[in-house]
Order: sequence, then structure tokens, then C-alpha cells
Amino acid sequence: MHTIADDRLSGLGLSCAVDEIATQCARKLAANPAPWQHLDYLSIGVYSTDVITPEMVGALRDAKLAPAMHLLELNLVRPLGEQQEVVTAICRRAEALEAVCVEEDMGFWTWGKTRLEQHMLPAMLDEPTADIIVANLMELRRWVGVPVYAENPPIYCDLGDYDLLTFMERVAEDSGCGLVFDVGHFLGYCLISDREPEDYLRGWKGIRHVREFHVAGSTMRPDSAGPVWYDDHAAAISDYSFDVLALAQTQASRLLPITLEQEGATIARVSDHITCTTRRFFA
Amino acid sequence: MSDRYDELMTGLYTGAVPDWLPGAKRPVFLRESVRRRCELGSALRQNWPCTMFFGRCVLSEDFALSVFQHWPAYCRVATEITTGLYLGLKHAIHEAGTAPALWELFQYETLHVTTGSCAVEIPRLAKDRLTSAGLDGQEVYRFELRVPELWSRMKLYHAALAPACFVRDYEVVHGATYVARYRRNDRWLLDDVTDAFAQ
Repeated sequence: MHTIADDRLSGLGLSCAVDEIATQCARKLAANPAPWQHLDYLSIGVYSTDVITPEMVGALRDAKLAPAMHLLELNLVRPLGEQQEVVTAICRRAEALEAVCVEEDMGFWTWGKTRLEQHMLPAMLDEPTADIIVANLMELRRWVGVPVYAENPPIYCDLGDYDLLTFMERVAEDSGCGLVFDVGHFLGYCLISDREPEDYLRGWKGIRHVREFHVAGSTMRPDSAGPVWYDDHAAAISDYSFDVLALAQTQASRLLPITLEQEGATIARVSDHITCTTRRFFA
Repeated sequence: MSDRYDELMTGLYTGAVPDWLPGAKRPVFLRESVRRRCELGSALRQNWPCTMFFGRCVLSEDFALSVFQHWPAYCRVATEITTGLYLGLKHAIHEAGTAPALWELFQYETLHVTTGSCAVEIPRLAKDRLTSAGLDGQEVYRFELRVPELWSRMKLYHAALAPACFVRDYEVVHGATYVARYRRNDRWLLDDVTDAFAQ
């Protein structure tokens, strides 16, 4: 189902916003900070209203940073026909950016006119939602003309029938689209569903659909019903997250691209993470 | 046309569990509802700390609940969270039908807000009035109460988690008050320019 053309991303990537493209490219070109020279791509968060300029695209080419486009407002859990204006705008931006792939967390990101950000709702892990997401991924791929990947979203409460990995595999199998496996989101789901992450991940056949890994900082807070994991991109990436990522890479049987999601983190922290990720996975 | 996600979102922020959710998921849903409303509450506190404290002391300990109740409806018109919260808080204040102090405190704090598109409703002075006061080119608003003092006192009470009776007993001073707003880096700063209008 997947073709070699799906694998347009490789190596180590860093997430950023559109207005940070120039800065990240300049850092790589100057190797200042030095670890930036190890970056192969940027995972760029794009809204339908963002302006993509030829200068940005030129900078990406000069720095040899492939652009992966990470959508931030499309509701994969609702029919695309109801969001045509946004879809059209996104397609224009994917073309302008020369995106090598498009990806998004499966969920509900825009309500009415409001961009929900941290108030987003993850996809309900059930049959009706899977059907809609499958149809949307296939349609979106036809529109953008590049691989489209569905990412496991942050899940703070599980209201569905499927477990996460079964749901992801179902979506990938039926759509023919690849997956982004977010380690932090996965760990958060394991906490709230009382699963041991490594046991749960081991033997997951759906790993063959994964095309990219995301790893990010997080925080844990104690709570009366058990600790709660929170997505916190600016925080340090835990050693455990890297261990689970290593297990996932082993399960995948081939070296997949890794995106460090570190928006808001200090340059020193990002530098450290680029260095240790390069040494552990790409040396 | 509403779907399950509309119902989930509305339910999460009003505390109402959708009928179709299985019983076993109900406690999980309610726990998540509290978590999310606390996130909204943090945003309210960040932008309107004195307004929320004043409302809690003067109206009800559960004043924030009424804001959360209204927020879902404003997601239809607001493009980001802060603007939706502004509209929800405005609705809650009007609904409570309270004295002007809460309203003017709310509007005064809104002048500080840097995110979203919160359109204040306090009258902004026209150019000719600014010229005669020697404040050409400035952005000046007229309040009916001595709101800088009110805000300053509520900041103190809020920081000290003062008893609600302190807030209820505070005597608001009436009198036309002119406040100029200007930008410094990424912040809004406010200046009491009432003296410029003194006869």
C-alpha cells in the first residue's frame, strides 16, 4: 500500500512556526549553534492564514532543510467538505512551501471560528470517527499531492471503544496513508489507560505504517486519580521518552525520521537534544 | 448542524455529560471537564485577575462557572480563546446585572490584554478633546469611576487572598477618570491622565 515515494523525509527534524523558518535556516547554514548542522528537515506548523514567501522557500533550499507541513486547524474528525475554505488554503500553502509531506494530529482543532490550541479535542477512538478520518486522509492526499500522515493526538481522557494502537493501525490500513507516532502523546495515553508503554508497543504490527516519530518535552502532575502527563514542548525530553523512541525505532526495523518538538525551549536545551538524538540514533 | 464533537465540547465546558456517553466513561468525562475549565480559569486569571476576584467576592464563589457556561457559544464568533473568554466574561457580568464597579474594572483590565481582539466598550475620546487637553495622538478612554485606585486596591486584595468582605466593603470613588493606553515593547501600559482634563 505504501510506496517508496512516501519516504520523502529522513534524518532529524525540528518543529517550528512559519515565522521561525528564516531563523532556523540561518542557524543551520552558519552551524551556529553547531548542532543545527545535523538537522535535515523542519516540521513547520502552518495555519491556513499564514503567509509563505519565496524567501522562506529559498532559505529552506539553501539550508537543505526539507519542509514537512504540520497542520494546526483542520478537523480530521469532520468531513472535509464542511471545511473546504480551509482545505483550499492549506493546499495552496503546501504547494507554496514545496512541502514533502503533510501531517496532523487526529482531532478537533477548530470550533466555530475559534482555534482551540490546548483546548483541542482528540479523536474519539471509535468506528464512526475512524471512517471519517480514513475518508479525509484519502481526500486530502488527492488534494495536496504529497504523502499525508495522521498523528496520534494528546489524549487526556479516553472516551472511545478502540485502544489507540488498534485505532491507528485501522486508520493507516484503510486509508493507505502513513502515520506519525508521537512518543509523548503515546506515553500520556498509556498513563490514562493504565497500560505499560513498552509492553503495549512491543509487537504492534501497525508500526509498519509509521513514517515519522515526534518526541517532545512533557510534565507530569500528581492527581487524585493518578498522575497526569501534560504535553509541554518547552520542557526537557525525558530519558524515558528517548528509550521508548529507541524501542519504537527497533520495532520499525528501519531508521525513520525523528522530529524534535521543542517550541519555547531555550536554545541550550534544543542544542542538547539535537546532539543527544544525533548521537543515539543517527551516528 | 451539531455533531458529537459539538456536544462533547459544550459538555466539557458546561459540565453536562452527553446522554449518549456510556456510563463507565462518565467519571472520566467529568474529570476532564474540570481540568479543561481550570485551563480556561487560568487564562481568565492571567488576563482579568482583579475582575475575577471581585466577581467571586461580590457575586458568587462560582462566578467563573457562568463564564465557562457562555464560552462555547462565543467560539462561533471569536477566532481565539482570549477573545471568546472576553465575550463570555462580558456576558456573565451583564447577566449578573451588577454595579458599574465590576464592569469598569473589567474594561480597565481588558486594556492591558495583549492577545486576541477584545474590543473595549469604554468610550474612547475623540481627537478634538485630546487636542484641547494636550494629548494629541494618544489613545484615551473615559471611565465614570476612579478605576486606577479600584484596580490597585483589588490587586492588593487578590495578592493577599483577602477576605471577601474587604472587597464588598471597599467604597468605590465616583468621578470622571481618563486613562491613556500606550504600547511599550509587547505590553500595554496605562496612565491616569485625568489631570490633563481638569478645568
